[in-house]
Amino acid sequence: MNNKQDELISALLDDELDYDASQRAISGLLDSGQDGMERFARYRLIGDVMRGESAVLAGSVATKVSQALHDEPSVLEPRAHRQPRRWARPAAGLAIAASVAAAAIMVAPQLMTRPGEQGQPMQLAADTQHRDATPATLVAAGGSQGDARPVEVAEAQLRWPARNQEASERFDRLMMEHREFGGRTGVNGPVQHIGFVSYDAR
Amino acid sequence: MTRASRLIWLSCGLLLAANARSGESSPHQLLDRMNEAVRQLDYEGRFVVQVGDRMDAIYIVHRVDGGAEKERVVSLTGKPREVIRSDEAVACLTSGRARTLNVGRGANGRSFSPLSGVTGEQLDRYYRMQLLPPGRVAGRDAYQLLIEPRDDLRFGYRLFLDQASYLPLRSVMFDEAQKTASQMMFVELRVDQQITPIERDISAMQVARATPSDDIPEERLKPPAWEFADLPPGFQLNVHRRRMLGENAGELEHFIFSDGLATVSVYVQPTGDDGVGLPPSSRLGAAGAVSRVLADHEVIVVGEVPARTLNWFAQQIRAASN
Repeated sequence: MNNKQDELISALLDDELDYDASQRAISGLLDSGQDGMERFARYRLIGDVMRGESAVLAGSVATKVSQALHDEPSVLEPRAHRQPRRWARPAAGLAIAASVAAAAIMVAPQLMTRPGEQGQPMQLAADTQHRDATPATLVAAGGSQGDARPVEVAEAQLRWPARNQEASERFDRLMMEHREFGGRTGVNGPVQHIGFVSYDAR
Repeated sequence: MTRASRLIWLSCGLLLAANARSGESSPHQLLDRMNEAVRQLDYEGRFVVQVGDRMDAIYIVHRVDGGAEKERVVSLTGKPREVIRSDEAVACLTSGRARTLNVGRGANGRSFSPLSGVTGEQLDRYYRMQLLPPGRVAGRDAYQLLIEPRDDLRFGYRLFLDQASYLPLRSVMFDEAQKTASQMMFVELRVDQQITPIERDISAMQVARATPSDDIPEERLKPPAWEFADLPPGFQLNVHRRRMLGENAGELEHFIFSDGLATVSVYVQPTGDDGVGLPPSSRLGAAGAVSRVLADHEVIVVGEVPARTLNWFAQQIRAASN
């Protein structure tokens, strides 16, 4: 990772690149491996924190990453063999998103926790101070080129339409029982309760 | 040996080798190994989850202690949320909520697997499985497995399984239109080494306590008050349970059906102030919910299946004839 690439990252984050240049920059980031990804995420996260912004951003980079996720077909076979280049770029987008997430996750605890607790996962039950902290979120947004619709992320409404708070809590419990007693196979991921953690529970 | 016969022998050899290779890691074997791995291994990692337009990062640590699973799942993005699984209960915590959601566990802290209740032939009847070229996720080599439904009553899956541990490194669930309904992907994973002790967070484990008042003693268990005139092909009843609702609010009946991979819950409870009041149909990512009122009871069907399947259950339920 040299100075030129650092400048590219900076320009990418500042939305100063046109479409082709941003694609080249993303390719460069992918080629630079984990180090480049972590640097990209760190730049972005530090910039967000210094500006005092929440991590809900509608930047063009986020838009592109999200668009890449949307564009990637769910079933790559047999199309994957016939049109390998068609999904190469979306897959790269997902790789960037994942790598950014990984790097953000690695950086976030150091910014959120107290001295002596660095690198530890959030202790929601044990440490109420963390409840008020604005957690750093990873970057994703939706929409096409030029569409600045901020879709990710942390504050997006993603909850079941129960009639009120109490009913919502009752339904959360039903979903929890569904996942707990329904068992686990791994096809939905390693744990049943991902839904509770990723959905908005009121 | 003529050239032609050498070619024939070579072809036969290659075919046998290919068969032997596919036999070593057939889709069914991979599914079985994944099914064991998610419940029996110690692992810790971070993964991203995409539901619709939203993406979240999540931390997980899973340990098996004396056969019982313990687990913490923590959201690293958005509103702080956490799921803690001890050997006796599961607790869901979220900021801003006064109470924790707490559900007791059975089976000595072990997870139930609906996959173990079906045969390979049953799975093949409803899913088409195929090994795709290997992939790489979270820096680990992965088998890639495509599971496509043979009808429109269930979703499909694309799985990347760790070649070393068989844990799912990436899971994509896709709907009838082959669009992604939800997906998760590890970005960092450690298996069976230097796993963070869950017990370190004593207060977290203390909230995951069973609440015996919810459980109905076995002697009070009685046959289901509801039955299903017809079930979607491939689905079978795995669990029937009852739970007390609030004071004088009656009981909730819970049926869990599965085809081995997809799971559907049907809840029946008296209508009233303790109801949920969902709209007739709603969906969040892969999970859908259908609701209806039947004989002064609220019927709620939830599951990671198409709406048609949820509606099937909702329409086929009726008061038991016994």
